[in-house]
Amino acid sequence: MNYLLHLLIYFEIYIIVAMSLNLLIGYSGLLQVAHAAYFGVGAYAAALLALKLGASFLPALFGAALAAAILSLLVSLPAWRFRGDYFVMISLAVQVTLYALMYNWVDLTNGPYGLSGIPRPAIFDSTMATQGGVFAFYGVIVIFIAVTLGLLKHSPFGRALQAMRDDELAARSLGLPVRMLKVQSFLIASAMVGVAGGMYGAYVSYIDPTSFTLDESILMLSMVIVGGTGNIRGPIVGAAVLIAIPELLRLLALPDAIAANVRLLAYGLLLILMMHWRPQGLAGKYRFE
Amino acid sequence: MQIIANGLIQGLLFALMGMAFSLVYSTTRTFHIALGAIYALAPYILLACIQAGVGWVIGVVAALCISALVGLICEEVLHWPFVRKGAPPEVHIIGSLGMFLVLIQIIALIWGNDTQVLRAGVDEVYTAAGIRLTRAQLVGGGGAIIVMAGFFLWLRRSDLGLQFRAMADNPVLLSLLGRNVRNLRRMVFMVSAGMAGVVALATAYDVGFDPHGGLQAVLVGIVATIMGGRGSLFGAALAGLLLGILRSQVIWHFSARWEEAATFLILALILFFRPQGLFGRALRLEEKV
Amino acid sequence: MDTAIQAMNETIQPVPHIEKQVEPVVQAEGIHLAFGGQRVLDDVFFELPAGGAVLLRGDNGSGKTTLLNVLSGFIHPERGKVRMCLNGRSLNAPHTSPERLARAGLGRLWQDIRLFPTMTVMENVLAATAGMAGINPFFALAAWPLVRRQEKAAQDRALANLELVGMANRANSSGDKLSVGQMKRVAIARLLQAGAELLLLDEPLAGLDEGSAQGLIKLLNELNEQQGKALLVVEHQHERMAPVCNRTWYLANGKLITEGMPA
Repeated sequence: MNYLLHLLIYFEIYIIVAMSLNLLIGYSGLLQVAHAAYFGVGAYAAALLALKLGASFLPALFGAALAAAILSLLVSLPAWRFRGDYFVMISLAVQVTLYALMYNWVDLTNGPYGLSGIPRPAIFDSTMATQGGVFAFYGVIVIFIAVTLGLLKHSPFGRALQAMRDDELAARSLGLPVRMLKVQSFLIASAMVGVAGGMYGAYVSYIDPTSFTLDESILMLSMVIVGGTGNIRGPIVGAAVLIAIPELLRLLALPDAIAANVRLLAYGLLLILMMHWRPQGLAGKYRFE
Repeated sequence: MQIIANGLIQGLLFALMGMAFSLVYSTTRTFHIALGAIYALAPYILLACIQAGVGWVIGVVAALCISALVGLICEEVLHWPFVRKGAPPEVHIIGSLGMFLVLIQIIALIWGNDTQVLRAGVDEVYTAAGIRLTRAQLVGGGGAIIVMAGFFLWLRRSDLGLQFRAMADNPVLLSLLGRNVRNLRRMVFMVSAGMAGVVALATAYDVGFDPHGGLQAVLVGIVATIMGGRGSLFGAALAGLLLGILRSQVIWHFSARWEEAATFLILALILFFRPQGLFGRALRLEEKV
Repeated sequence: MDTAIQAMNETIQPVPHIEKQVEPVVQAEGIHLAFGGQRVLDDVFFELPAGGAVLLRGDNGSGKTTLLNVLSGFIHPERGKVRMCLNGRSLNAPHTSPERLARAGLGRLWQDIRLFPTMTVMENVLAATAGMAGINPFFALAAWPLVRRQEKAAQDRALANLELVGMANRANSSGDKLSVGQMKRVAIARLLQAGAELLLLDEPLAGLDEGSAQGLIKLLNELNEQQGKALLVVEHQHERMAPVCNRTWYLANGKLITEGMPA
């Protein structure tokens, strides 16, 4: 197995995660911590469609996007009157709730034992036998999503999101439908991260709830913060850093049990430091203001 | 009847947790998720003291003092510097998330991820009027009542308590008083940490503890605060009580796996029908956004 | 008492005759609103005629901004009816959201202006364009050519509105490079882009030097007399609004007095 390709495939998956979260935090100004839960919803949906219903890869991805999008209403509907702290709190509640469902609804998700034997990515009938094939295929998906986000950014929708982020009160007084905008950007961002979840499951072939905890949501958040919010370079930098740090830690030859904790510790510290010294992120354009 | 009694005890602990979170949120508008990490830490301090042979009393005192200290650290290292820089709420939130991550990982690194207990074997049971309560439940419920009653009395009677209440009513106005606010904020963070510590110790004595229990606890605090209404400490306490009773009903009639989902459902319903919470004052126009 | 009011009435300038609407732009009845035990608006009645320009006066804290908040849909009064007739459509204000009121033709100039800080002047105005199908993301992706056509039309309109307020040459400036007067003009252009027929202006002359103030007054006059926009202005420097507002209302102790001559 080519380790570099392995990392690059992870990189591709996380670029989608970062871009989708950036749509929410950077463009819409909606800070939230439930992204890992929706990543998980996508992973479970795609895996279950493939394992229980025999769906092939692309339809499973579509199902993943749909499931994540519909469940995104759990945050956007209760929270649509609010933003800021209440919005984050509600997303926290949803994150914990969805995780609890993944863990406890054993009949559906197999609980802590997870789902294994997820089929590898495939286009129609040809399964990607090689890593190179997966890398290329996923690359196409990344480009597709990036182009979609670019089109949205330059559309009246994107401009309305910016206005809402900048000054929600003024935006409302000009007639912008802010509640609908929040619901829509959540739908889109969740659908995209759901797709990333499906891609993740198909690549690693085994998923369990531990990959979709609040800690992971905070990690995803730190990707966007570190890389910078508000532009397209930011998510790429953020995803790269997210992949790089565990690799650097690996050089320290920590035992596996501790490695996970140290990784999370490092991210927590990174977040604190970023908030003190560069709230706008390493490569970003828009400052939280 | 037994179920209601169980729910009541649980509710008393939830009420105190709600007060702990609401105390910080109402007075400083800080989303203090790191409180969950403080909650996780307290039982470990007690355990360490017991294992070091220092005894329970000193252990409890040490645990509460260290909890307060960590609360103070959060204020000194994160929130006060951010306030001085005029940082927007997102910065506080992300800083607190980072701190939460760091603290929980430190706990896991020092003590490991497994569940620990404070007592061995079966607990003593007391029966009255056909209701059975364990010693842990009585200690927990009694402790919560004492702390809450004491705190409310202190709020009403003392000078400092008046300042706390003023801060909850109108933080901005009080901040014009300058230096005073700094010390008040410190006290707020320390008292809230102490309260969380009490709840943590009671729960740890009852069912045991692990590094990740803090998340559930702080989520309860958050939900109780939102349900109770912004700016209302009593509301958060009452909401916590109701939450405890409702949750036990859900566990009894359905099963434990729906606990989180039920909590979220209650939160969502409250947000839809009474967004200002049970006791929240109507928001000023600028706050609505 | 009656003769005094009659005398005052006779000195009021006649309203320019606008044929667009017969219905008054705003008809308010029995508005009641209390904050913390105090009656801020007590049984308030008024009628703002189509194309009218009214100055709202009252002491600090008398509730003038609150009345604007009620009219723009951000605060709901405890009792009362506010009927608005904008662009030929009739609306019941207390039960309508600020967004819908704005889309119907109600525009508000905030006291702190509130331009979007990360957007240029042009982007600020474009963001306010009414009726853009591309504001729906799914439509924006599916019907890209139509969206681009609408965008072009919106840009033309935006330039026209910026010309009207005299800011066309600064279309690509970012908000923080403008003076207060310039920012207010852009804000007004935004309201025009949104299709506002009734403009609620909160202290428009605040923070303006002599020259800018004169310019703004001239612009408001033009909007009212030539464009037929109705104006409701809250302004401390009331004597300066004489060229624009031919009616003055007074808000005191929660009561609104709608007869009066220009200061």
